[in-house]
Amino acid sequence: MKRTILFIFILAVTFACEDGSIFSSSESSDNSSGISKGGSTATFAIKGDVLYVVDSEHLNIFDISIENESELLQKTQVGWGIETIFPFGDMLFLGTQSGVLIYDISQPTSPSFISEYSHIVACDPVVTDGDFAYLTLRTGSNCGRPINELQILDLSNINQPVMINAVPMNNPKGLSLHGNTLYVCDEGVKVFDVSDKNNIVEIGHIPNIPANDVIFHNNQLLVTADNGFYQFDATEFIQLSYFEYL
Amino acid sequence: MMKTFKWSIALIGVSAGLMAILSFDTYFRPSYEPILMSREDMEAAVQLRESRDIEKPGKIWVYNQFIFVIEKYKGVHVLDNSNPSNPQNVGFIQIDGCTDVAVKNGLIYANNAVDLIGIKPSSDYQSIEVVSRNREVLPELASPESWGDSEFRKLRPDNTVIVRWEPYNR
Repeated sequence: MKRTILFIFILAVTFACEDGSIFSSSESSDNSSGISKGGSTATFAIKGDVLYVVDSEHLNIFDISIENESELLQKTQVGWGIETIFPFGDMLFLGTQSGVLIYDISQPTSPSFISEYSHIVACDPVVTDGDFAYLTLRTGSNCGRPINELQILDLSNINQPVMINAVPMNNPKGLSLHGNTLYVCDEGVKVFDVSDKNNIVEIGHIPNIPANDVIFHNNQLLVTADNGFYQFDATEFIQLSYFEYL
Repeated sequence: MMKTFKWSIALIGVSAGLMAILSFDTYFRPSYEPILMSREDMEAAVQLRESRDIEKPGKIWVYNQFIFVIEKYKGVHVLDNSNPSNPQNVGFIQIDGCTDVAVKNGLIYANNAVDLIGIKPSSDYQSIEVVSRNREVLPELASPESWGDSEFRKLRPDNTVIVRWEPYNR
């Protein structure tokens, strides 16, 4: 048994390394024209010719291969309290109020369920680099129990994600991962070095903005907040621009 | 004498009943009410408008140098982010009941309340065209409260769509 686990682990690491990609974002495979991506709190995701839309209970699958004619292919009841969707490679991660659902979308029009990670009822967006998943759990008006933390899941065995670390937060919301840097909206935007999953280190903090979601893009942080839309330099955390709600 | 007494009792009973109903209404009335649009108006209102201030930013989508910022239940701001230190707010696409957006090959997909629509902008963002519409494929917008919307749903006139919820002003 131990040997099998070790084998799977080595296999996973090998693949992870071969892939060479330590970057994470929900970038869609929009080959023809550069970058196209949403944030961690998105309910829409695109892979190839397929648009995924989650509503509170369903995964809706639209064929968008033809410009003038999108078609609803499938509406599947996948649970309840579904809040976010995050695609990575051939996998789709759904953040629900009770956990994370992982689907295989190697055949984009017919996703198949892989596994589920359950936690207590809370609001939670999720991001991943394929090897690890990061999710925030937050107390919200409609989100059940009082808990505020960042959880890190080990996906070595994708059939059984295991939580390997939980870090207390204040009121965490959206998050974004770039390499080993994790940006978390938590009373502003907190920046963590997550090289060591068991001991993540806060390396920066953009305070005083009621941030809801963050997207890493071109070494910039795009931040939506209750009071407007901000952009920051992602290494120096200097504010570049701000659309303020007046 | 007895008659008056009976009437008094009845009066007290009726008053108590009324008060109960009134206070029930005060305490249990939903604090949000739905804003309705006729389907015809909702579909016709999907238009490119002058750029406007971002008030309640919702989800965002990055597409090349463009950033699409949802104005919750109202539409999508289009920002040209060629220069991140000075992004240009180039326009606003009115999409009532809109909560999220995604872009593929320049084509913008968004929910127009319960519909999924595809929008093709001209390359200079001077005009847009709705090129596809899937009607009633997504759930009706829910009240920000987790309860209290079923009564409204029953009362909703035919051929109207809930495009947002607003706090009661009474």
